[in-house]
Formats: sequence, structure tokens, C-alpha cells
Amino acid sequence: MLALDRVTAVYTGRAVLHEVSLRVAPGEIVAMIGANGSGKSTTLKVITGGLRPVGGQVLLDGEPLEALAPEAVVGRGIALVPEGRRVFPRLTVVENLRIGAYSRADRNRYREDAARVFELFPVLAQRARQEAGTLSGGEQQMLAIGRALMARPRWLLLDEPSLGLAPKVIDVVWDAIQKINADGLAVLLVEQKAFAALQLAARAYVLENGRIVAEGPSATLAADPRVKQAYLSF
Amino acid sequence: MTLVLFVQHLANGLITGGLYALVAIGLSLIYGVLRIINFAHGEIFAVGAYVGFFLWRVLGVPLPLAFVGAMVGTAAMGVAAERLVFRPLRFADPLNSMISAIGLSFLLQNLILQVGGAEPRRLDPFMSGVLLVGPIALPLQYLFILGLAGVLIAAIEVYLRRAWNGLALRASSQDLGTAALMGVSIDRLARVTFAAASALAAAAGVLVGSVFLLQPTMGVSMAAKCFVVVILGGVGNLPGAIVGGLVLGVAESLAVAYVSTALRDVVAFVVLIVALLFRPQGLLRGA
Repeated sequence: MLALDRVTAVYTGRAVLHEVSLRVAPGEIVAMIGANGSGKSTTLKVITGGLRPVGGQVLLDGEPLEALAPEAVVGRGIALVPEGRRVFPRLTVVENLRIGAYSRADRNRYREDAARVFELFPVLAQRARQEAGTLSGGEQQMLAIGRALMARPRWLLLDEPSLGLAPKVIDVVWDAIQKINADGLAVLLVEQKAFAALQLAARAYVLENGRIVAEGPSATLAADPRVKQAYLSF
Repeated sequence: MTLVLFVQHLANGLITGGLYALVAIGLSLIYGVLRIINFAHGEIFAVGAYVGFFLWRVLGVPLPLAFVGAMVGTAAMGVAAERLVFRPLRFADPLNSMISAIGLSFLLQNLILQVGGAEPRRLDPFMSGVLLVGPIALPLQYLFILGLAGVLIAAIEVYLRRAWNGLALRASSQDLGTAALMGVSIDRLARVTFAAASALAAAAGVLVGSVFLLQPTMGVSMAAKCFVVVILGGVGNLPGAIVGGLVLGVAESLAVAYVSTALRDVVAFVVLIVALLFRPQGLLRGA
């Protein structure tokens, strides 16, 4: 169980998260929706060690996570697909996947995992020797997801995976997330495209100005008139 | 006859150029990964030369072993310098680490002066004899240096392509924050970077000492030229540093031979100004 327990975080002197509590159980897909600047990315930053909370706790299977350095978090089984994809532009596709396995004790067997990523995203196999900077936005997103899978995480955090992608490509990414989840990974999905996120996730949290203002099963939230008006109107 | 001389000068230029490349690669690596402009890198090169001299002359270690010993010892010193001088300033304004680097260079220079003395020293050549290719005479020592520089450069290239930390170094030079997400520890990378850069500089130092002279201030002009080489090749671009080193070495050698010996130290800066005018992105960038 990955859980945030009343986490409060401050960034450049301003409180950006107020007593945020959420949990992601093994094997679940959970969505976090909310407007730009509501604290979704900050929540992921706190989980991955990029920002230390001033109050509350981040717990992984009951053990506190918030004192860990960013580079130690992935070793605990939590991998982040960052916003904007952040693939290494001058490394090849294969090298990007390989660096994803850096934290593993058995990293020399990275080729088996790379083969699995190529199965999930066949287009990446065709681009294997190309530099990641030459890929399209959709291919880079697939690569960023593949790179995160290389660490063999149990929790996958995705930050705005649909950002800037064509609808067709979004379908590919969504399918992949479902497949990954079917293999047993828990997924925490941060999305501005709230409607699409609610279709994918079983449960969701709604963030507003750094507070959780609604939570529950996706179907309930999607039917909630307040949520509908605020986030699903487009 | 003039062609023979030209080839001779070209060969000389390639040798100095190879040595420039060895030092410049480290400078470029440290900047590329850690964004530190290491003004003390020339002195690390000088320390390497003197460690080699000390092992060989004072302790009587055979020259090849002294060469390896200098690389190892200087790598350890580079790691210590990173830990003591640069790591405490990692999150401070970059100006701080630049000034500290200048301080470190003064410290090392005076340390060499204290321990090694002011008089120039020299090492024995690694090899004697001459290889005759038709009318061209190539001293084996020069070929040896060029070969060894090539081997070391190839080794660092292979390391960056194949080793896990080599890959992590390249990833970090592109995006440090995302590399940390992959589990890459910046502390460990900083150690690896300084160790590799210092070992290469020490290798160049010992090789220089076996052809030219050792002097406490030998690092000053080496550092100045290697900054030129790094800018010439494109900052943070390792193949660029190699090409830049060779270009500068050859340009210097030819200018000295065909124009005036007084030009040796001027050439670097003329090359720099011309390069900045016409290819400010570096010789290999965007090519």
C-alpha cells in the first residue's frame, strides 16, 4: 500500500499541499484529477523525494518514504513517468530503456525487460537505435513509460501522460496502461483530461488548491454534479 | 624535402594535440556532468606529472608502473578535491565553485613548488629509437605517446558507452533531475567524474614529462589551452574535445614551424577567436 497521510508541503514559501491523504493499493488504478496548479504534480514530487513535506507522512507498506533521497525511491518499487516525458534526447531508445534499469540489482538482464517493452510498444523496436530526441511526442511518451517499467516497479506514477498527444496516440497509451495494470502494477494517474482518466481508473481523487475536495469510485465522481461542472464540462 | 618536414611537424602537432585532448576531455566531462568550470584542472595535470616523477625518481618505481601509479594517485586526489572543495558548494551560486577552483589551483601550484622545488625536472623517455618511414624519421617515443593517448581516449569512450556509470554520466549531462529518478546518485557520479578526469590528466602529465620538462607552473598554460580546446569542440562534447585538441596541436606545430616559434602560445587564442567568430557552437555541434 502506498499512502499519503495528511501531507502538507510548502514550495517557495507558499503552502501547495494541505493535509492531503490518499492511498493506492497494489494492483489498483487510481486517478488524481484537478485543474492546472491544483497540486497534482506536487503530490507526485513528494512521493518521489523531490520535495520533502513539512507535515504528514508518505508511507510505503507502512514504512516512511519522505526522508529518502530521490535516487533511492525507485529502488523501493516506485517509478515516475514525469510530466513532459523527459526522455534523454541524445541517448538512443535502447540506452533510455537501459538507464531505466540502473537501480536494479539484476540490471545486467535489462535486455529481457527491453524486449517486453518492445512487445508493448512495437513502434519503439523500429526506432531502437535512434536518438530519443528524434522521436515524435507520442513515441517519447511510450519510451518514458517503457523506461519507468525497466525498473520493475510495483507502483507506476504517471504525470499527465496524454499532454500534447493526438487522440489516436492517447488511445495507444491508455491501452498500454491497462495492460501494465493487468500485469499487476498499481497505477497512480495524474491527468487534466478528467473524463478520460475517470474511465480508466477505478477510484479517483479531486484536487483543488492543494486540497482533496472529493474522492470515491470513478463512476460516482463522474456523476457528481459539482465534479461534472468543474472538470468534465469540456 | 619540404613535404618530409611538413609530415614531421604534423606528427609533432598530433602528439601535443593528443595530450591536449586527454586533459580537455576531463575538463569537458566535469563541466558536462556537474556544471563546474574547474580552473584547477591544469594543476591536477601538473600534480599527476609530479606524482609520476616522485614515484620514478625518488622511490625508484619503474616508469610504466609510475605512470599507472600517477593515474591512480591523482584520481584519488581528484575525488578528495570534489568532496572537500566542490561538493559543499553544489547548490550554491556557480561563481562560488569557480572561485574555489581558482583557490585550489593556487594551493596545488604552491604545494608542488614546496615539495618538488622550482627547478625544471624531466622523466626518461618511455622508448628510445626512431622509426624510419622512407625519409621521415618518427621517434618511437612520440608514436608511443600518440598510441597511448589513443588507447586512453578509446577506453573512456567505451566506458561511456558500455559501463552503467558511463551511461549514467551521459544521461546526467542531459538531465540531472530525471537521472536521479532512475536511481542515479549524483554524489557517486561526481566521484566517478573527478576520478576519471584526474586520471586522464595525470596520464597526460607523465607523458608530457617524458618529452618536455616538468615545472610547477606547467598546468597554467595547459589549462588555458584546454579551455580553448573545450570551447573549440563544443562544451560538454567529448568527440569535440578530441578533435579540438588535435586541431590546436597541429595548428600550433605548423605555426611554430612556418611562421615563428614565438607564436606557440598565441596560436591557441587566435584559433579560439576565429572559432568563436565562425563556429560559436563548437566544431562538431550541429554538424
